[in-house]
Amino acid sequence: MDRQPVSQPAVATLFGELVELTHAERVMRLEVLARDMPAVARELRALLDVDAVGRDFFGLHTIAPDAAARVPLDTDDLHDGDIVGPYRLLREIGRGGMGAVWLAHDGRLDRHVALKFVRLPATARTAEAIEARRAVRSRFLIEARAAASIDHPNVAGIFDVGGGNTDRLFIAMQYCAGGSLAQKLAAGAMPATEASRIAAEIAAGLAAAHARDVIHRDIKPANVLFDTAGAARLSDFGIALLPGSDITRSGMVMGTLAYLAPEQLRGERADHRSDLWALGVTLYEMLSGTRPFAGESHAAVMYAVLHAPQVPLASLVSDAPASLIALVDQLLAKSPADRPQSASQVEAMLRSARAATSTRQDIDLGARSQLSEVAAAPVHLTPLVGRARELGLVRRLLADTRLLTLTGAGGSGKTRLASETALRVTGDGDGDHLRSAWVDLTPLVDESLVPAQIAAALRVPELPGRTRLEAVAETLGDASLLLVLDNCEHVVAAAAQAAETLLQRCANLQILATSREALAISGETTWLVPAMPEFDARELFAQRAQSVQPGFALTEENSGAVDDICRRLDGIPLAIELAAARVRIMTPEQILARLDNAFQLLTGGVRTALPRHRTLRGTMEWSHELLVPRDRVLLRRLAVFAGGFSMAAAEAICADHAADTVRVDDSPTLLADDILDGVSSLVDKSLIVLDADGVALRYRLLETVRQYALERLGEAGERYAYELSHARHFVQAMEGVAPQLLAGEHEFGVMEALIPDHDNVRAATSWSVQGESGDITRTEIALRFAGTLFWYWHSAAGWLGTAQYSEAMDFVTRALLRGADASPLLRGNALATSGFINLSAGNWERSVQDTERALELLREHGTPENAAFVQAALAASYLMLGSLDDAEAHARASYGMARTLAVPVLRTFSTSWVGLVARARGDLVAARANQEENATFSHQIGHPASISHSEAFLGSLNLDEGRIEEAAENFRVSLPIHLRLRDGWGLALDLEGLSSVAAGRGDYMDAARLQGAVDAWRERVGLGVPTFELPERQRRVLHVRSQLGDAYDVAYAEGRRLTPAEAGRRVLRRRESETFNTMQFDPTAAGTRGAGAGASERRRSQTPQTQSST
Amino acid sequence: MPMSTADPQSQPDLTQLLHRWRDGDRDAFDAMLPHVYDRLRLMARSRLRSENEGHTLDTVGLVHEAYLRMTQGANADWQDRAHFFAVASTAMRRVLIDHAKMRSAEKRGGGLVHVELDPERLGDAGLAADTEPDALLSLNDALAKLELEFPRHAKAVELRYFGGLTLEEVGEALGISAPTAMRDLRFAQAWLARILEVEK
Repeated sequence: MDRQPVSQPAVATLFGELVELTHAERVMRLEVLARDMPAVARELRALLDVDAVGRDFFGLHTIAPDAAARVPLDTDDLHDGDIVGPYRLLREIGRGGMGAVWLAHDGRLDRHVALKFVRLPATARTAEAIEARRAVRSRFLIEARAAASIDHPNVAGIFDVGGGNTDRLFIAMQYCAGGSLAQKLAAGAMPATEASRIAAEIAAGLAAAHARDVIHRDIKPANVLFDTAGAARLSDFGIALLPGSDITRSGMVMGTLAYLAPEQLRGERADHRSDLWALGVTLYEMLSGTRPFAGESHAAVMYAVLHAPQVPLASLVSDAPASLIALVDQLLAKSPADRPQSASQVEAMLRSARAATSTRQDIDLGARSQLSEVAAAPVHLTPLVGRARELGLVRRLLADTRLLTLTGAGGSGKTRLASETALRVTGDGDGDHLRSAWVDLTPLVDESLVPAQIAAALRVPELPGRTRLEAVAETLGDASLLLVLDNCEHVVAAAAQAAETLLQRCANLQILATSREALAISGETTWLVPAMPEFDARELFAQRAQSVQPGFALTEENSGAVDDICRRLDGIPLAIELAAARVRIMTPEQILARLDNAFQLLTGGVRTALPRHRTLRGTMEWSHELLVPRDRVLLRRLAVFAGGFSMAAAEAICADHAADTVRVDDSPTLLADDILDGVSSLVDKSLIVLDADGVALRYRLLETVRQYALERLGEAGERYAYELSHARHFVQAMEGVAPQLLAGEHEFGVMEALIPDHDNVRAATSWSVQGESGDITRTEIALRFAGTLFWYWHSAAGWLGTAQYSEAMDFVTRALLRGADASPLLRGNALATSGFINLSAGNWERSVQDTERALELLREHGTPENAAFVQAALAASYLMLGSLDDAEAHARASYGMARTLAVPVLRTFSTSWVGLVARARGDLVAARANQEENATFSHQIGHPASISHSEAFLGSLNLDEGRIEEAAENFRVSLPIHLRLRDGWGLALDLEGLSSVAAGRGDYMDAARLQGAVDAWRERVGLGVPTFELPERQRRVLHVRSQLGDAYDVAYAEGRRLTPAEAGRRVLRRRESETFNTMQFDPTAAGTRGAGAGASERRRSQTPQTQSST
Repeated sequence: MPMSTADPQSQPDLTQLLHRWRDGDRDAFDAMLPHVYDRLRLMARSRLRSENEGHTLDTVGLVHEAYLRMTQGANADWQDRAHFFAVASTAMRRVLIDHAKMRSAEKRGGGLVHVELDPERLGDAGLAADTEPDALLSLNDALAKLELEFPRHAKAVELRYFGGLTLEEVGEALGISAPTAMRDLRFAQAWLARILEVEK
């Protein structure tokens, strides 16, 4: 063979040269050639055209060197109707740093896909460089294959790659019609519930990828897409950022740079934790509307990422729970080792943070309507398996009907479907309308309570002269809302009536109900939730099994048995979960055999299908039989809990020593130490679920399981004993925590820890006033509750969104009735509570009556501290009534005592009433001296409520003296604290004051709005206007009205629809752009106080500008 | 060049032949070819027979295997290998074309028809045994035409497509650099595609 290169005819040589030039150069040279060698030029042109089409017979993967120039970012050589491989381009739907994204149609499969064109980075034009790019290209293919291997609901599916020999690689992927997160973010920050939902979905997708050792490397809002069900899906795995690519090239859009982790910027090995960083950045952006690291240039951004701390999220966001903010901070740890180490972990944390957000009805959300605080659907920690089709169906059904009832036996997943639907609805709310509200009818025994339950969930107070349903209908008006009524079956008639009434009166209301049977009203669409389809059921089984037995996998051998189990269990999700939970000790075949046996017993040996409603029962019994005796005991005792329980409570209540009862003979001992194991064991068996709560881990029996357990408890004769144990535990707990709630939370966080047990407290108090009246034990507990719960209820009003007063008053009255013969101390405390409640509710006379009697009893039988407090309350009652002499006498007496006692808040509490009396008398000098002293002291002890009240009172004084702006400064301190404490009383004070501030400034429209806001607020939380306030109020209203004329009513009506935070913001903000931060106040920063100047100095030091420069 | 069937028993030392060929002895190439061809044909036939229709015939693998067998593990260097593959790819082409002719004849009962070459089918090394035989035959004919005008480019195609050589190996076999080999192939690709379209 010749060893010399064969001399080539001119065409081949020239082709070789021309093909590597840029387009422009090529054109020029061809022109020159055309003059000299026209035939050759023609031939060359023809060949070059053929080359450009992009075949790749020989696996060359050649790329035109000037790909960048020929496929610029705007990819303007792609047009509608172009055919790319098997796809026909329809329209461009996006554009990224990598290239354009087009919606295209795949004629073979007749479906739409998204074609993402990938532009490889431009390099030099030598053949060597081309070879290098070939290497990159094949790495891209490897990467694309890896991404394509991930099959997960939160990852966009990849169908195809193509563009072989061209300069335009493309990926064909699932078309996500919901747009990208980047588009959503263009509208600004989103509510914390939605942000954490989306982030949890991203985390879930990441977990799936990481499990296959695929790192995304390019998480950012533009790469988070939403499918038609609204679920987030990750796309564009690491394509732009393969190892070795130069990320500092100017072609890299800054938008991507902002999401890269420090280790990526340093060119170090990126791992899955880099993805978590990017998730943190994204979440930060979702919550606050800004990026944590920004700058004017690449260098600035890189510097910020590598070295600078981000602006603390807590200062930018007001509706996110502390746990969520902490998570973001963790994700943004500069060192990967300091971040959470797995995406699944992050997902779990996000789901629990989300629940915390949605159970925490924030008073100052940006929503306009009064319906901003309704109860949200429960969030589940376990992912929803399958049911995609059912979800889609439900949504479609909802599009056509105003009342959709999901029916089906217990455990069929109706509630889960409803909550998932509701959550998705809330997710895409446009911020102006709330989209869904959740009413849990489960705990109701008495049908007549249905309207009240609905009203409570919607935070609609009792309105005079109307039934609760009417009040609800009025408040709802024509708001667009999906109201979910969960578990109607035991109150079906009342639920039906309520539904009918509301649907008639509220034009844009839709109702989604779950029930074993239909509501049977006209216009209702019912849908029997089908058994899980085989595929989903199998998937559910597998998932559940894997969570107890990680090695479990569906195999050819066992999938038949699994399918049989699912069929046998009629596709009922709960039953399947109960069965699957047993795989640790049994194979699926064994489970099937045992189920068969168990069911045979139930049907008396006839193997025909069990009636569906018996299937779950049968499974539950079967599962119960399999429990070890200790676990059976534990399970039944756990039935006493309402609304879930904490481990500590379970240990305290369910252990043997806790109850004094004769034990049923052969039941084993259950010690406190056993409970942890027992609970874990029951969780494994799907009998207990983990509940999402932002503060601590909680557990819960599903309602069906709970009912079953309650039966067992009754059978075992243990019901009374353990309900007693439960009540005792909670009354002791509340007594223990009472000092920290006195006159308002002593520290932020106390209520947060207590609120999750609200249902338990309610259940215990209800229990304590039931049964025979001669039951002294119960009565004592009832009175103890009554004596200790006032401040809890006072704070809870804000947390739960409505005053608890009528319920509380009911309870206290009954307790007092039963306890007519109980000890004076107990009665005295209960009476004091009654007095306090009436005081808060505006029933001044009743308040005086009760408090006088309480004082008598407590002077003799109670502690001096108790007596002093009650006396101060008495002073308050007289003051409200307008009996100034009595008020003063009692106030001074209380004040005198307080100075000798060691309870600081008592001193502030009583001092403030002295001051208020002075003010009511018109002695402004004395009043000011008094309040100043009080404010100083309050700041010293750092008690939030004392500080806020004293500031608010000082504000009123300043207003009296015409010092408008100083007053504004006072309210600027007090309002955030009141918002944080959810102190209804304090907020009313602030808003009245701010109305006067506005009037004083001449902003009459705002003054009228504030008036509307405070009136609406008072109605909602059930607060009356103190008598001594009335003259000032009336004066103000008259004045403002006279200035505005008819416009007053308009402004007033507008104001009624504002939340307290919004209303306050109007008056207090200095500039349009200032964020009004409810977290600014730090009560632990004890030290010098200063209303006015001092306070604003303290505030200034916490503005974002200064914080970020540290 | 006649493709005589040599007696597999009388194996000349292949390595020696390779060396001689590399040193410029054209006759050595001719001497080697029949043996390589025979070997490959046998191997290919047994593969094709034993697997189902439609199974991918891994041409590259076959050539590797043939090389190993024929040099019997003797210490042949890289350049020997490249040159062996050069021979083998020519042989491979033969094998495949023969096979395709057979299948095409089976399909039509004789007579060849040109069909449009579908690039999707011919992209990879490792031809499917059921690659549309007519397409392969068309390619072969077009390649023969290319050989007349641009022998080196045609050879490059043979080495790459039928032998699965890398660009370096193609370069080594042809005495050119890898980038030049790339350019050659690219040209050949455009040229062939044009011919095949024109003849449609």
